[in-house]
Amino acid sequence: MKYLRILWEGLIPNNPVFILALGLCSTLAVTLKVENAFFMAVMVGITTIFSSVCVAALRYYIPFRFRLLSYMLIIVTAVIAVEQLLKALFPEVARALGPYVGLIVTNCVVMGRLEAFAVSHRPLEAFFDALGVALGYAAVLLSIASIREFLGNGTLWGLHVAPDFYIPCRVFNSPPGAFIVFAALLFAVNWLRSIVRRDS
Amino acid sequence: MENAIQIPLLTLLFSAAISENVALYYFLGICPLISISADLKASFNMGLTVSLVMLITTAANWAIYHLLLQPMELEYLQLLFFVLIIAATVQLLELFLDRFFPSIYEVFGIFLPLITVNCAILGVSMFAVLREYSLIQSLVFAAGSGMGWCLVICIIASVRRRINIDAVPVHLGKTGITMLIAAVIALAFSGVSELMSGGF
Repeated sequence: MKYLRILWEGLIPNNPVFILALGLCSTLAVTLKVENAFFMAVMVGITTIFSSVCVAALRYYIPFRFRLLSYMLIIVTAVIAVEQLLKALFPEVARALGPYVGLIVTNCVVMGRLEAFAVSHRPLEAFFDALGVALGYAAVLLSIASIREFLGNGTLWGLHVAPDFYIPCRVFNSPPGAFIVFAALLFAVNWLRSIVRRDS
Repeated sequence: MENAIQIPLLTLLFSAAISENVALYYFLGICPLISISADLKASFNMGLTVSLVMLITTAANWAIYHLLLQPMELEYLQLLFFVLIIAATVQLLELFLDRFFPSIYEVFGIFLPLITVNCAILGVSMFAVLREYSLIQSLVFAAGSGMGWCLVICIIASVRRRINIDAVPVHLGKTGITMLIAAVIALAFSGVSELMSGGF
């Protein structure tokens, strides 16, 4: 039960992107297609979980003054491993994502979790916290990507789903479209939250 | 962008600064763009710091990649080396400025630690390696990217100053309205790229 609450905290009330405004770069950059967004979310998730559990397990051994450097090395290790795996298993996706896979290193979602949670909790708690945050991040990424791919191409995961009369609106494929969809979604989320808060 | 050797340096500079701006086209360095752009003076100083560090680290990373990692076939370690080099450069620059130019340190000092995890800096280094730029091209690319990033954060800060005295939709919040400003500026910048493709 306690673990479920930790998981829930990261998923909705502490959603990394919409509530804490972390990890915005990748949220905007890899949401052109649902497929790319999915792989990105999986990789960020693996990195977050791996580094959270590592830091939580090593929390008594990491010297306070060098903790940021230690976090960085743990994150880089995870990202290099994930990057090599992706290159070997899904070369096309790796090519489409380009440098953004490596840029998970500077994704503040990962670092934020280590500093805010993992360093002061037990590994199992850190695991559920990281899982929740990763799911929250994935939910945002997938919803933005679905909206952008549907409006911009009329497709979802490469499948044509839009009705025939729909003319794709190319602006959603371009960078400004990413900003617009993000702002609109943020507005919707905050509006829903205010309704929920008023009712409860 | 396929054949890096043939790009004229001026085109490279302007496309890095404006039409393929790091912040608005590649979505790098969005987190500080949102959090620091509330104040124009701080934004400008942050922009200058980022440009300076970007120039130094891109040159250093280019040298490390082409002189050390490539001959030894250790390309997969590039992330680790890049992150360490950026951290070391920032640290050294901090010490150097503090010791010899205290007046500059007062302006830049507080921004330097933030830059270690700025994805724009790591991203530019990685793009330079990925596109196989020569040393000169990398430097021009880094200079253009730094200028472009500085330009964008200053524009956003100036617009936000106007918005501070107006009422924005409550649910949009600071993050949302900054995203919308960025969307409009991104549209304007992509318009410039149309002009440039006609001119060059």
